Amino acid sequence: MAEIRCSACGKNNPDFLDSCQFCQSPLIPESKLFIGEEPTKKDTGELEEILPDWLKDVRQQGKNAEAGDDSFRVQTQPRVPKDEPPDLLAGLLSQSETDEEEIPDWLAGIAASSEKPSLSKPSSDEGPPAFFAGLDQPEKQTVAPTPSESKPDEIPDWMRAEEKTSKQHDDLSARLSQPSSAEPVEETDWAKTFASFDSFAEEPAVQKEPEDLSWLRELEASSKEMSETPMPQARGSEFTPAASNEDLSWLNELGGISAPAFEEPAPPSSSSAEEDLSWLTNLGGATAPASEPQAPSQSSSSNAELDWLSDLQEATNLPSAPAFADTGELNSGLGIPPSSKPFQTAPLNELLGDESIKDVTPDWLKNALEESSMPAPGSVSMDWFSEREKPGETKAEDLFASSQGEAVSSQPAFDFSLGDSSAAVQDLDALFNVEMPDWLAGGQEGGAPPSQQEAKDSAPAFAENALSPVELPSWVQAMRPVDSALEETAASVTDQITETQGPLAGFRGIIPAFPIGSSLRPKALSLKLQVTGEQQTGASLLEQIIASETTVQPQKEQAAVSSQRVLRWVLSGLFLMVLGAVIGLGSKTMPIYASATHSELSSLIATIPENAPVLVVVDYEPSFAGELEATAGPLLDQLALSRRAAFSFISMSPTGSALADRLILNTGVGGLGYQPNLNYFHLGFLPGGSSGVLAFIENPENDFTRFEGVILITDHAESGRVWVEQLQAAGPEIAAKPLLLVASAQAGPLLQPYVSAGQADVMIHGLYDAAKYEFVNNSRPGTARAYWDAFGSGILLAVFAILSGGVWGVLMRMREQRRAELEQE
Amino acid sequence: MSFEVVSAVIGLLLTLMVFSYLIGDNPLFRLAVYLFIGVASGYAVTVIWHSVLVPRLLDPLGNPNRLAWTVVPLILSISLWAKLSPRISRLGGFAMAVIVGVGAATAIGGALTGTLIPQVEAAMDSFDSSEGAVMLAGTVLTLAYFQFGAKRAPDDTIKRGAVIELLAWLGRLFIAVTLGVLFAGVYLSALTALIERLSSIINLVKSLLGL
Repeated sequence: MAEIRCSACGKNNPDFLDSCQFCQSPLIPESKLFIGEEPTKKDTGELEEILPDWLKDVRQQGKNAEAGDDSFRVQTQPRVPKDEPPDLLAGLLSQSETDEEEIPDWLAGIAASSEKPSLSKPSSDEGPPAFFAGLDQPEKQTVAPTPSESKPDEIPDWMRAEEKTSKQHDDLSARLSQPSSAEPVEETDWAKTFASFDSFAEEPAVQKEPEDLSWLRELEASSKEMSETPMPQARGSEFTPAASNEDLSWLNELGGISAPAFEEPAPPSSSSAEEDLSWLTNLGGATAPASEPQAPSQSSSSNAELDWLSDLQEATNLPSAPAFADTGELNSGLGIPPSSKPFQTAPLNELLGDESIKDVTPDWLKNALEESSMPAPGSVSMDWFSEREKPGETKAEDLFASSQGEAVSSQPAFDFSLGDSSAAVQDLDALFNVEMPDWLAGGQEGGAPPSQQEAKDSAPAFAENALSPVELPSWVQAMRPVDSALEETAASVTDQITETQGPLAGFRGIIPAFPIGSSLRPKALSLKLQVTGEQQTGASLLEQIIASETTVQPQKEQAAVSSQRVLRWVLSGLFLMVLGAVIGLGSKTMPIYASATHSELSSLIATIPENAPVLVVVDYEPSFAGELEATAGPLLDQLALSRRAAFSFISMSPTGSALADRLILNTGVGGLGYQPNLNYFHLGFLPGGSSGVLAFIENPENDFTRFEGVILITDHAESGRVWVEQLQAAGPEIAAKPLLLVASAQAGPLLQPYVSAGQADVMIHGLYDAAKYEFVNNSRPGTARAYWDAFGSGILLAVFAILSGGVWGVLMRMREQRRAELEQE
Repeated sequence: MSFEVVSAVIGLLLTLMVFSYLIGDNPLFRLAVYLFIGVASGYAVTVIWHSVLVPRLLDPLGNPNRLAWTVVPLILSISLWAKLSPRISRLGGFAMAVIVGVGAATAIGGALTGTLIPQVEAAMDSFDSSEGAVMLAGTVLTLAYFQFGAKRAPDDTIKRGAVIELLAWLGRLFIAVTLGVLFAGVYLSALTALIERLSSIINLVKSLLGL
């Protein structure tokens, strides 16, 4: 027989083996099968001829045995699709139908361990042929090594103990399922994978045969050989990352003894640990690392055929075995075997049962004390626990045992860096290392036994993948400033207004359209005028007034223009003829009567000192010169004649100086020897109106106080008012000086209040007062008297004209009425 | 012919030209009016130059002692010329403001001390006689005439109250008498001027005729 030299251990192996029977290293690299890979079907029929005779016999016997066992097919066929193994077992299922070259490494290790008896004891009478016949039948490949179903009567004590603990686990699962908050998502790939292993392990439980116990002897022998090899840590990484070697502890408890550890306090768990460890020790290398001090339980087994398990236990009690054994000082202090404690598979406070532990635990570990990092018991993901209660689940331990034996290989059976298997490992990492800070992980690594360190060194890739960057400890997450900022932002976002209309409806944080401005945009006002009824009435009234102004009024029929012109001519001719006749004739027939006022004026003039300067204000227009000269003549004549007053003429009109000269000439004063700048002075034009008057009065150069009297000759009331007011405002001394007003007939009535109020001493207005005062003044200068008859005639003509016009009007009305009456008649 | 006769003849002609308005607007009347306005304006300018500008503005410019008091009026006077151009009319605003402001202040002060207060006191003193009652009645009734407050009548007409209407009617009488008096004064003034003109013409004619 050809032999193949193992590249790992250097030992020779038969050429038909894919893995080394000593170190389980793959002899043919191509025989590797990774998780998720679909094994390619190969036709190995050509190799049938080169098989040895004994192997052919074995295969033939296997076929016979398969044909005789119909129930085996009935029970195994539906189980495979029912369990729906994940991709992890896809290769196994497919491999079962193909040649054994397609078996993956880790499964090849199992096969190798199963083949070892055939290799070491090829002359064995029935066991080896039946075993290899099972290999030939894919469905029987993994069923062969299960001894429990083959001999129910020969169930060892450890298996009974397992059933007992399974029942306890069932109870615990039922209790744990109540507070379970696990989500279906927690049924991760690893759980499915493990469940598939359970179901996979059930298959051989059905197809047990009595002859299968023979492989146990062979397995015992192979275990003895493998006991000298290092602990297969990498094999444990099939379900957990290499960095979290502690994960294997819960896997150990999956065998049925870990259930009390979930809820049971520490003392019961410790007491039950002995029972649990009994099956663990019996389970073979898979869970042996956690059952190091439970050797007595192993000795309790009375079955002689299970002696190999004790050896196997010794083989698995290597320093590197307890991947999850080191749970810190807590476990050691409580006397709980570290390996019997699952690592954060349940709330640690319940697990440890000591509240004082919380005091010495860090914050991040307190969370672990309160919450379980494991999927909640009773959830869907824990269904596989119930399946563990089935009798055939011991096959899973066989698998672990095989895997432990296979762990002698330094190469991992699964390449987690590929495909979905890496994702599964990520899930496991996040599950088991979520609360583990780096510093504590480092401490554990530092304190780990040399076996752990070696195991870690053997799988550095898993250690790197074990770190989950997104799973930060709670205290680290609490230090992140992003959370508070996000909370504030979220709070502010909730305060924002959500747009309800327009194309931005549904958006939050929209800048409102109205306050930008909006609020400032002037509200649209109606162009319609809002008016009240009263305003409307006023507007209509105003409209009527305006309309009446613009409406063409029908003119009354008037007489022809010739008749008016004639009337005007008649009246003008009448006045001219009458007045001219009176003036031409020099008639002085009309009487003049003196009045008390004029006598008072003469008395006042008499009080003025002689040669006293008298200010004469000439403030009238040339058109009124004839009237005012006749009116002021008697006064100036009396002052010049009796008082020899020095006249100072000033005028608020530019023509005042000329009028003053005419006044001196026409009033007869000039005839009295008055010479300019000697007896009378022209002060000139006084501009500025009232301001000029006040300035003239208050100007010290003018020495207004030197004037003994003020004679105001004016033809309009405004000029007289200004002088009266400014003299009154200049002070009492000036106001006390005699003020004589000489006004035209039209301005006299408007200045009369000042005379009546005493602000002016005397006023002579019009030819009527002048004639009377001239009469008092001995008819000097006689101008007034010369005009008096004509003046009287003119008044009479005016009265006549008014009466004539009135009579004419009455006659015309009467004529119209008569005509109307005649027309009516 | 003496200057007085010539001036009298010119005066006579101009008077006749103004009287020609009796037959309507005619060139002689306009000529007389334009001539009167031109002569009056020219005379006024001459008077203002000789009576105001030269003695009060130009003469002080030559006197250093009064120069400071003259510059400000000169600037203000020149700025008033800016009112002739709309573009630079603002330059004369200050001078105009000074004129109006000072004039208003003077007028108000004079009105208070020379008209309002004395007239109020005189009105109160006049109640010693019947004259005061007439003045009061005339004042109240005249003010009542200018009371235009009214109410809407049932026939949708707006009329003042009966009492106010009666007082307004009486006030209108006082107003009519006042305006009649003023018109009579104007007539008397005009009549006097006419008499003076006729007298001068007749006297000239008499002097010319040697009568």
